[in-house]
Amino acid sequence: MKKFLGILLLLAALAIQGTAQPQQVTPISFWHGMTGVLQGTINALTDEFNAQNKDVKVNLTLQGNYDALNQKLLAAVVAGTPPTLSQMFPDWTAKIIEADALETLGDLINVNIVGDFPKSLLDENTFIINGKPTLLTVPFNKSILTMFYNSDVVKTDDLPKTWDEILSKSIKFNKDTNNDGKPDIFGWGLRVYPEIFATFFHQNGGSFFDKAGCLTINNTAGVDAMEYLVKLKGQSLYQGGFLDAPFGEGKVMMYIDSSAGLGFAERGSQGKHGVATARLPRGRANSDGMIQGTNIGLFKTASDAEKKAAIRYVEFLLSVDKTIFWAQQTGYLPVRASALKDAKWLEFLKTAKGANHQAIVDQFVNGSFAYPVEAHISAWGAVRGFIGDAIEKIMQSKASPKDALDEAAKLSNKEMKKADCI
Amino acid sequence: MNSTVTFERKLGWWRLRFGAGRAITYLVLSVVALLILLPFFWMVTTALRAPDEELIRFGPLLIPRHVHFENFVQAWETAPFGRYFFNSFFIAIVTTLAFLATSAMGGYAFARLRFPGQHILWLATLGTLMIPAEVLLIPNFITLAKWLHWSDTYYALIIPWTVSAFGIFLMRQVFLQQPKELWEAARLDGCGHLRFLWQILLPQVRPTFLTLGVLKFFWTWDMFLWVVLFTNADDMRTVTFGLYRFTSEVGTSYELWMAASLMSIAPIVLLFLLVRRQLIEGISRVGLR
Repeated sequence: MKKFLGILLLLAALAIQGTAQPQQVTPISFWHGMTGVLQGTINALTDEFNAQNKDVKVNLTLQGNYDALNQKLLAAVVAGTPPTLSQMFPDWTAKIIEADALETLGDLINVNIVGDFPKSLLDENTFIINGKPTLLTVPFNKSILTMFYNSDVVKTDDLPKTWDEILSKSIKFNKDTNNDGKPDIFGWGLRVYPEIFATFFHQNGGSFFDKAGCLTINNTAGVDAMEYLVKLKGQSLYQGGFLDAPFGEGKVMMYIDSSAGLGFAERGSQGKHGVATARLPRGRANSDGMIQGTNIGLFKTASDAEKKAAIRYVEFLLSVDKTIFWAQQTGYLPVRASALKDAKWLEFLKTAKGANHQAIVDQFVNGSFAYPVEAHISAWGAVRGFIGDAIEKIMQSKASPKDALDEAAKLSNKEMKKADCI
Repeated sequence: MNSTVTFERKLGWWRLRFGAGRAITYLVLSVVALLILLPFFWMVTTALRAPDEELIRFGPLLIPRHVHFENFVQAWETAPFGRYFFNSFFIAIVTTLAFLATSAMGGYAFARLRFPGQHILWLATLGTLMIPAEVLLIPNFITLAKWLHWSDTYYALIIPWTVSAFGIFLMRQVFLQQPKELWEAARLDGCGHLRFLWQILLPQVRPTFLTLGVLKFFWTWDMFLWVVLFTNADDMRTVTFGLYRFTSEVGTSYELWMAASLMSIAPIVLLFLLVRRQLIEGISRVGLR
């Protein structure tokens, strides 16, 4: 009996010891370049995940800005010391692919989530690996080009629906308040960067690449789009910086920019005038807006336990609830199709804060596009730079649209090692 | 007669003081000074404006409609700037002192000593000046982060910057200008190389030495990418890193950014004011040679 009791006590002690053992925690790192509200929101989401998953500790690291993050990622990949997860733009991803450093996250994430990504987001995260289209990364902070307007001055009937109407309707709001012969209040604000040009080019029926894979931004659609933008510049407030400040001051009535800038537009206009959003005016072919923002990649150097933990974290961020929370707090888009139909999201759209998201979501669901898969190459960063240079020359009247785009296409094809295209 | 003489005297004085050439000089210098000061003025006015005020204004419109000193408080509270300032000061001071020591000793060795392989070593030292920093970024990252495991340590932020060919080169050139008799006289009195360097030679070239130190302090204080590369922990980061908290891909809080920028340049401006006389003297001496 004593022996039996002794064994029983020993077993009980062992059991207690077993349960008292601390749970093993798998730490994973997530590098990002998000500041302000974005950083606050990702911190809150991560704290929630860490609290719910005691066996995982996600360490968020801000790397200053996207440029610094890009350089650090490339150095870390070469050194073999990348993080577990990182934000990345498609052209960075393309560079990292060359080092074979990324897991195919699309294959590891729950199929229900992958199947729920809208097409434009799937396109943006698809890369050609061994000749096969592969979903290498998953979308995270995605925005789309949208139209912002001063809702106190511009009524629904005044909103331009076509390119021609941008010219004809916006000029009516131009005013010369100090009688110097030049307008100081403008119907339209214009800031042209590669994604704005890409949107006008795409809306004009342009295709970025021909069948041989040559960049064709210098075709008729590209030249016409640039000529249109030059014409629009002549009657608009044109500047290189963000337009939310002159918009807030009431000096610009309408402009096109990333939907993620909604918070800045609202902040700048607070107490002065209303802010509203609308679908982009239609070009010759369509009224699509370009998708922008970063995706998330998982690195191969992580251990199996880290990869499993990372996938749980990514699935948490991409869950319907969390993608809605992310969008509500930051102005970015929910990245799941089902989130856009979720009761919580639909309720949010009815609130004062959510009202401006309606047009943004409409643009996303019914008229969005991304750079094609041919652009998911490591040379795209340089190509984007050539397009930016061409835009600058054109807008400063230093070169004609045709000449500048020809030069950009030539330099780009050379950079992409497309000898036959030059 | 008297009045004519007085008038001519006055005219002469006027010509002497405010002759056309001098007037033009003052005019040009004033315009240049204004151009240099304008961005600082814009920084100050932007740091004091409301978030919804337009940025690009001219003339009197540069003055904010209402002054918002609370921007400085808000900027300070956005990030752990106290820790960032401590790190910036610590890194800049230690790096500068170590850099001055290596520059002085390296420069002295190449200027005054004779040793085997000196010429080749001198050429190799100069050769490092020709290598662009970008090329060295990844090899440095591999050496410090992967092999030495120096990420998130002060070693990575200080040690690689304590020696530079530029410092050694500059000090060598300055030491070569000093008369050889100084060394001969010191040696007769039983002075060794180290004592000669610190007690006799360096006081002779104080303005240049100080200028080198001030410039090094400025460069170290401004360091951003290096800090990002070798740190992940927030308590290891510096003031310049903190400045990026106010800008994003979709917008920038200019008023907070400029408030934080003003705070970040304050120590630099203070240092400049403290040593400006020696700095100008040092730069002009280097320029003369």
